[in-house]
Amino acid sequence: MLEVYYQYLKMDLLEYQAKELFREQGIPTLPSQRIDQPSDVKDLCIPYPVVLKSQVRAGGRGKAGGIKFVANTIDAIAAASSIFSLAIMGEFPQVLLAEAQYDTEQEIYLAVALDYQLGLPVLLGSAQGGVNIEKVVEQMQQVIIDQQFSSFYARRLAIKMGLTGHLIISVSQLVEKMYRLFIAKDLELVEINPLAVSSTGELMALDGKITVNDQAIARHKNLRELAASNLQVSDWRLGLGRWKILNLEGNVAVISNDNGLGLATLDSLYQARTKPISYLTLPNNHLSTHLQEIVETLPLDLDQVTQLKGLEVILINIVGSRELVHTIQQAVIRYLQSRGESTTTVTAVDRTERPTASRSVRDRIRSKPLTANRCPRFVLRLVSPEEVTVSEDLAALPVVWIADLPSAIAAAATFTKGKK
Amino acid sequence: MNLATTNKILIQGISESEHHYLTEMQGYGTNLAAIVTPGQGGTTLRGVPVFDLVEQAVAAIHNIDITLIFSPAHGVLDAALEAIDGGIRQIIVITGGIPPLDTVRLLRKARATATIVIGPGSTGMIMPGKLLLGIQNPHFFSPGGVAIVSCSSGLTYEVALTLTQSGLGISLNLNLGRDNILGTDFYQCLEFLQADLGTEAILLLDHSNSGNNNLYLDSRLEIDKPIVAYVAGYLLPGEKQVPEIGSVIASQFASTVATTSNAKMKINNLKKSKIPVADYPQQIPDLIKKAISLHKK
Repeated sequence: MLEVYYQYLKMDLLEYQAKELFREQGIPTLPSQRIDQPSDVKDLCIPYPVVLKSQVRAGGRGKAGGIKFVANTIDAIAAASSIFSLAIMGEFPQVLLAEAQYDTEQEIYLAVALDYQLGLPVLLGSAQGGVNIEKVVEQMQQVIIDQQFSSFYARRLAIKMGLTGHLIISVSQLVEKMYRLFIAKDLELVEINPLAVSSTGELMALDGKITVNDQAIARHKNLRELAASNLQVSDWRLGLGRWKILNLEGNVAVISNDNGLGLATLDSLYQARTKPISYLTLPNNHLSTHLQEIVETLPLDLDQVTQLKGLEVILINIVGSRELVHTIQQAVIRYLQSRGESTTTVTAVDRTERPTASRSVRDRIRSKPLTANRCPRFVLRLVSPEEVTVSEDLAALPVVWIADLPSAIAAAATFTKGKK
Repeated sequence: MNLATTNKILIQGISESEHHYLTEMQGYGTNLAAIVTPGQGGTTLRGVPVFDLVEQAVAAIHNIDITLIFSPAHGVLDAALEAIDGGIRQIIVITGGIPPLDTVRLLRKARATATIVIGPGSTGMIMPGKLLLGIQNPHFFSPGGVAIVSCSSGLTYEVALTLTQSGLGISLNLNLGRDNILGTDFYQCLEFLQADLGTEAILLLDHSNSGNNNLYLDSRLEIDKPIVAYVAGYLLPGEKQVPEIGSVIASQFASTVATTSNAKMKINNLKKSKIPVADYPQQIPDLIKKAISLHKK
């Protein structure tokens, strides 16, 4: 089941992971060492002074205190302890990176990204790299890879960036390595910022960012392992799995089987002066296994959304085959029956056997006692061109069955207003 | 696009759990000429000869018009390149969720060979009562004069039912696909729809999360048929694009967020082109009827 959730998570690799991939590709990085706990710094193989860096995905870690320079072991242990206990944008580091310091003459920005608007990869470069985003942006140059890649694209970028002499060669060769990495690993983004240029013209990737493409990750085993090790409970709790949050003040959640249909349903709710809280589009593909996937994941989806405080109504708007409509009807009935009508607590007991990995994450989420809210009302609008059998089990459950969309919207609106 | 009920259709990479789509298409009269499933060459499936390679299928069945690709996402690029190599110039990619860099490679090859690619993630197309290509549920559609071009399947079904209820039928429905990078956009369909004799009016269905450049229409639109549009998701608050992935810096220079499209911007573009835009799906039939009667004057 964890498989399903992979595709909804951000897949930024951490700096030390990105640098491992850089090294494989021959992109120069500093000697560094991974620190799993403060006492690890006693066994540092890098000579002092060193930099200790918090390994979190959030930006702005320098300003937040996640990067410290240390000159000896005593300082290093203290600094490591403080970085480990510092959350940046709600994320605690599981790992620190200890790295040698570097004498920098110039800092450059380089990136290879997939541009979805163009449907093509682009090379980005700024002769001014570093943390001052405005300065970086001011001098940004772009080269579109509109044909098969060749080295001249990288040289074109170097020239546009205003580089001269030997730097044209060395930087464009580095860009080419970044591009090869981008293609080899099916990435969304490879970024080096800053790329340091030393007084002797030597290049060094001081910080790096790699974003993995979620649709391609299945064919890159090592990327899957790296990304999975970064999973944090916060991803699940804050992100509410696959739900998209619209407005926490709202009180209707929408489930549909298609992006366009879901958005049309939300528009209609707004027109009826009802506030949607969140929405979910069920995975939509042509394989028969996808019905099984819905059966497995819908209970978790519903568990997640019913934790939202203001939720009053769940509107399920499905237009599709008879099998789909039947599957969803049965899944909702089973969910409500298993939950029980006079729900006061949600038990932490697993409902079905699951792979160990997903259980552990789910148990971690549930280790906090859930304050179970009153069960929301369900408005089911399940439409198929063939005859749909409405189950008798629905009568005993907090569910209304409505066939046409305007009436379903009106029902959802009435339920929310009636409760105020 | 070159479409006729006599078109010879090739099927690539279909798995056993999808065989019912073959039955559905055949029941609709679609001319399934060949199936390519590596390892099963020499057999037949639902009366259709199976080949190991596209080149063998092309040698045995001349002039294949269209291929439908059902291969798993990571095999789509290979299947499409094999079809292009076999001389097939119209490809519908049913499978969605293709690794984007594979799509980039496929579309580059398609441009170089003048191949039309619909999708990835297309449910295919239907001409009600005449032709079914792909995995759409034909029972939602009744024959008539409205052509629907869409990148959403559930919303299309919803609208098709509404049209049927108000006495309007469908000349054809073409699904452009649900992936973020698509081979064909709305604009590229218009020439074909202009020429299609069965089409009296055109309905564009889009939504704020769709990929690509869909609906970047401009006023130079040269088409002599009424067009009506609906863009779902335009009332959603805060459509500002927060780059969830990648770098804040890079996202200012490259559209690294997959869904850069903005419903309100699309609607403005449509209105500039004097195309009526529905506020909600149930309004569409009236807008179409009005557009048709205005056009006749």
